[in-house]
Amino acid sequence: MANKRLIIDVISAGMIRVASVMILLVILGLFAQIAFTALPLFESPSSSVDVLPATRAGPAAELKVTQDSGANDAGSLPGLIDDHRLALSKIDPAAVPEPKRGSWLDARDTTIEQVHLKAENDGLVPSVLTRYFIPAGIQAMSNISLSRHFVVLDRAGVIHVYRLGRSQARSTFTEEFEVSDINRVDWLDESTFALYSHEEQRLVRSVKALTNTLPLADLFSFRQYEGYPQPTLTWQPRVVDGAESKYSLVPLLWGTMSAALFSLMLALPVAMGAAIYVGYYMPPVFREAIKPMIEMIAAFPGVVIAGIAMLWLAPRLHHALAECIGIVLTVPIIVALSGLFLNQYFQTQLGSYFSKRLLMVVVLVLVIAIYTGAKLGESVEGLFFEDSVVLWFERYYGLSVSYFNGVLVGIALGIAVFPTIFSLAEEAIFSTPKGAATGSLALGASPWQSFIDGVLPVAAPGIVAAIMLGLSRAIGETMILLLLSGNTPIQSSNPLEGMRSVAATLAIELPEAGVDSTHYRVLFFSALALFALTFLINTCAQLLKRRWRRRYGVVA
Amino acid sequence: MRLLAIVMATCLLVSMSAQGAATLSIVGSDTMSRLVTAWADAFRTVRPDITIEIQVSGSAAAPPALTEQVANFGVMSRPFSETELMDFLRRRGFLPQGFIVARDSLAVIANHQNPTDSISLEDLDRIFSIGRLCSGRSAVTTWRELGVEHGIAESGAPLILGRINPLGRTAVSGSYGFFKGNVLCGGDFHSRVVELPGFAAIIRTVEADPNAIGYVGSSFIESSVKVLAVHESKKDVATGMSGESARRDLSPLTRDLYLYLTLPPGEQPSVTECAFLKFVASGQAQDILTKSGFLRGDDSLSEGLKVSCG
Repeated sequence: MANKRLIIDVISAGMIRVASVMILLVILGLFAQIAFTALPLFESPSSSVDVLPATRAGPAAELKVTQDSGANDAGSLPGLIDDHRLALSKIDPAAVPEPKRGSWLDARDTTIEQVHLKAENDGLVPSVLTRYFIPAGIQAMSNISLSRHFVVLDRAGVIHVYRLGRSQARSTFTEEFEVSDINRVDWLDESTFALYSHEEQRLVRSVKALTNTLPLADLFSFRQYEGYPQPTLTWQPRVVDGAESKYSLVPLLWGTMSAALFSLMLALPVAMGAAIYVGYYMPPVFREAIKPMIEMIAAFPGVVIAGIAMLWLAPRLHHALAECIGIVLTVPIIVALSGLFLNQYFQTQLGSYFSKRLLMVVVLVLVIAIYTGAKLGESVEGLFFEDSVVLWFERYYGLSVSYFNGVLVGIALGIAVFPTIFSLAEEAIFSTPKGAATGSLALGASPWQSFIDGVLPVAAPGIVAAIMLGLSRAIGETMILLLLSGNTPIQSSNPLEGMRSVAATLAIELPEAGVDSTHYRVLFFSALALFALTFLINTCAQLLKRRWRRRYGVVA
Repeated sequence: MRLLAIVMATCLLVSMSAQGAATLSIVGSDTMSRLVTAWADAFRTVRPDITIEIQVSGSAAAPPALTEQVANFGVMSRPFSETELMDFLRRRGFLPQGFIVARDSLAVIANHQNPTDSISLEDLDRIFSIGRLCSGRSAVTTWRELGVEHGIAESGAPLILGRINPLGRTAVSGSYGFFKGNVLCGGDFHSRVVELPGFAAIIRTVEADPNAIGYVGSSFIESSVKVLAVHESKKDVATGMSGESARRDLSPLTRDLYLYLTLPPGEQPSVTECAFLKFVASGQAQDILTKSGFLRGDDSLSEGLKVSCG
């Protein structure tokens, strides 16, 4: 019998170990997968030029053929192949091939040129003009590909691949061949180009260049884009062929963090208050009933909260902003004041049972507080804000109030995050050794003093963990942000503006991003950046926890 | 033991029945979701033996699904982009076949409390775009700049309009690309343009916000919002996008809706696929199409059917 038990013990212990190692491996594998997908983004294009033999009918040559035969489908695919192709519109006549040593190439976007002509009087920025210097002189050059790259072959036999506009991606590639033979360079597809020889237009070489790379700085710094009045941090991937993609992660990370912050500002006081009351003051009998009820809220899927907030809360918040602000400001004050006067109902004795009238009084106080808050907000709006806070802010401070805004997101996300924080924080408070509080009480401290000095230091590491977990949920939440943030990639610390989060962007754009395209990699990188950010926050929290644990010498 | 036998028998039965019934899957445009669902419903009564699975998230979902061969048909509110064609070509070695099976127009909608009745394409560009490639004029951010300041609330009281709240679709949507290409002249959306994941969400928001303006597929229009007439420029007489005329070909925002299928050269569509294609080309399907607020496509499908399905 004892033997059998031993065997079971050994087996189960082994299985648990295997399982935990496997989980670790899966997590590491996932992480590696994301990293390997994202990080080729920053490869230098010059290191990755890849030559395909010209003689073999590689995929590139195949593409060329079918492109031409695409005509049988012309009815269904009107004008797709060549309509969007841009051309180098301006080559400084003085600089074209002739000079022996070096030439300047002025590249300009045709679309922008058009705008420039149209809007000359309107003070719109002139087109972005990019100058490229080719020291050996130009032998041949391609037109601009859909991903806005173009190839220049210089007279020394060096191939340069440039990206038009924001940055000068430049890949140099030297190859031993007779340059004088070659007079035409053309794109075969987005990443492959071919060199053709002089006489019979023979394909000499096709070259595969990695055009789906990006300098890291593009993701985090101000960039001047075509048609934009000044350098900006913009997120707007290309959906129309030939357009310039703008990948700045700053507005997305900003949006994620600000949404998380707004939600914590709302959820934290409520969750902590509830946790302290339930875990410290409330008799365990009631605690056992109330705690699962609050935890039930965690079972609400984000999309349900988001849907209700979108259809019910959003219009009300928009029409009655002043009332809402009034309620938020007034309720805590009135509740605190009422605590002062109705002390006998708000029992603050440790573990004491409710007074019978407690529920009634609390509800009454809350109703009065909400009503007063709303009325106060309304009358203040009427008196000082010309009947509309929204318009007043817009008129005098230029502050805009969006329909989908940070407050809305904060409320919905706060509701989603609240039970997580509550549950863990309450557990930490409740499981502190009872001696800490009772001893302090016996020495004459008030319940609140005992809590602050006896219970809180012991529970603090657990509370920090609770907040971190809440923060992680707020950062990772997708549906609430997708439906309520407006997905506007703007950076604003104004809580009445919208935002766009990384998670929502991934949900929107990952399905449409071509595998291994720049967009795809940038999206994966944004996930990685978000992970790094949460990792950093969690590490800080762990260090804090460890320090507290050491100081109070307890295991919580 | 008996339980196990029952479970196994059920599994066997289910798998057999799954093999027996033919399944067609359609992936793609949210704009066409109502049309495709209505077609599938009607088709079910004609051919109850064929199951149709529909997945509509946005046009961009169709090309990958067709490339990976997980769908029989792709429905799209725009043609394949060149990049998507290249991807498809690289993977499969031939081009997908597309037919214009319907047309619809994008309607520009506003709240009923907003007194605006029409808007020019130029002004739309000034509201939605950052570079304003089409108009080249200054940006518009408030209703006052469009000459509208006072709305009328439902109660009859005057209502001051503030900043314009422009609403659009997310980037997966074909309508996003269409609006970008045709209204913004390929320029970028302003970063303040709200991106919502569906036309219904746009309508719900326009319903609630007097400052909102948004674009929706004409088949989605509800009476709870007001359709604005869209005209080419300020001087033009409004060419009418309101009500029924939204469905006429007059609107500058009319576009073609495609049904794509993948057919390796020299092969015929399967019998099930042919059945559905024939149904789409039939008069019954065309009736459904007009009833759900779309315009008829061209004859490419029925002509193509003569060749491939007999």
